[in-house]
Amino acid sequence: MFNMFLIMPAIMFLFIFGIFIFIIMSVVKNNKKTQKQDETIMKYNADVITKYEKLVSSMPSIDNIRKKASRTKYIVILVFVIMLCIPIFLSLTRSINNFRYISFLIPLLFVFIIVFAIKNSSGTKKYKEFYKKTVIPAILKEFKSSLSYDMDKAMDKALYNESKLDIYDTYSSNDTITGTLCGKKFIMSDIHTQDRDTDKDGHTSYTTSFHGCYAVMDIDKKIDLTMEVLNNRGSLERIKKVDTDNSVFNKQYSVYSTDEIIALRILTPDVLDKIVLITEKSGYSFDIKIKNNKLYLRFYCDLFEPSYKDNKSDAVYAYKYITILDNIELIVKEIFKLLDELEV
Amino acid sequence: MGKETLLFIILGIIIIYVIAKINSFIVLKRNVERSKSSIDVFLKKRYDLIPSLVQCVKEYCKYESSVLKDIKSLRKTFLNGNEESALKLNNEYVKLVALAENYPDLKASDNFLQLQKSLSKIESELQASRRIYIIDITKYNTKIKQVPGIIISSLMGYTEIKYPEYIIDDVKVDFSKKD
Repeated sequence: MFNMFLIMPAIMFLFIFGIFIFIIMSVVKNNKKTQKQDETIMKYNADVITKYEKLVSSMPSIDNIRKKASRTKYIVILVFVIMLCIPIFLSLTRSINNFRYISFLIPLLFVFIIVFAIKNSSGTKKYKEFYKKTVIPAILKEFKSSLSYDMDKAMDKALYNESKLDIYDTYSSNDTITGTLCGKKFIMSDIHTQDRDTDKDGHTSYTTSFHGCYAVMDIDKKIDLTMEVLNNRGSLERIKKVDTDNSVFNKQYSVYSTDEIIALRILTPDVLDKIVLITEKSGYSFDIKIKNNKLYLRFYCDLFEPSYKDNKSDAVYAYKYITILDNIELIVKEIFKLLDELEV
Repeated sequence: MGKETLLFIILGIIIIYVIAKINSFIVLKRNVERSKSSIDVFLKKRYDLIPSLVQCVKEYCKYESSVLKDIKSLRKTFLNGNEESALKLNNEYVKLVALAENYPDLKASDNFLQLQKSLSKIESELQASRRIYIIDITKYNTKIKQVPGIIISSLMGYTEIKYPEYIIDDVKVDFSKKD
């Protein structure tokens, strides 16, 4: 007869082990995908990567912090795996009664998971803090000297709301870049908005509505137009959908505007091609909106959370900073040029 | 459920589908007509500037009187509703603007600069409306040629719309060139 005292811990053990394997598998899969993307970026942007590596070579402590954080992570994972293997080993080598060990090991495993999470997050936190305080300002100084970065500064919620690009329940913002871009006042911040859902039992869950970079710029010219270039989704404003003559663009983006003619005067075939090219090269998509004499941009990428794998992956992060700013500059320059020419 | 009920349901679905298809053809055709008329508006706006342009050019290039005469008469024919003259008028118009490029004094004059600004705006509007027209024609032509819509469209007499020559072959006037 099976003893409940043995079966329950065994099931729990198998359950935890299954989750563990699942997490490992998805992390490995995700890592492979990121690695492939990173390799493509490194292949085509060798000059930026070299510049970055030269930049961080003057910061010897970055390697130490990264190594320390990685070391802690790997040691904890190793111990965790060993602890999981002990009961399996015992059950295979001796008798089924050794499953009793599991009942003692389960609480221990939970404690370990908590310690792991705390340890790992503190290591990562230290590294991220260092990266944000030292590396990002250095990158900006090197590549975009007219901009400055503040990791604790938040963008005003009202400034995000006025674009009417999102409906959400919770809002958080940090990592703000301010300054001038193309001679215009510029502000960009890392934004995270969430929707709150409460089920019949009163359980509340949150889903991300938007997580990425959001930028705002003033348009000097008075222009009575609302135009949206959205990443394949519907508009929150009640404005007309405009089709473009670029089929690749149409697959990735939807255009809405109060004036079809002005929208297509701004979205010239050249601009459409540029948007497609930027999306293709950078791997992230974006929203562009013109409203109330302001230009709003939203980029679907998390710029301010570097991993701490190695210098190369950091360089890819740095590349993303630079390209996102380059791309903003490119789009903004083109749009402002067209807006200047536009006689409305 | 009896056979008759089933037949009625199927027939009902088919009728609803056919009505929806015909309505979509009507909407698409209206869109084509609307975008075509907006091109005509901008073309008219463009050619309305011809008398001022001719007047302005006349003062500086007295030896080009034949071009000015031709364009004036072509404009009249176009305004009288002769669509065939559009292509000729367009060619003459491009010639006229190109002519102005050859006279630096003319290019520098206030009147011409003002005209140039208006023409640039109209050119850009025209280009946008032309793109809308082509998009609308493409959408309409694709829709009526799709299966099973093609059966309804051919029964209802919806035929493919050709892209008008004077719209496709239009030449963009570039004022950004400097001597």
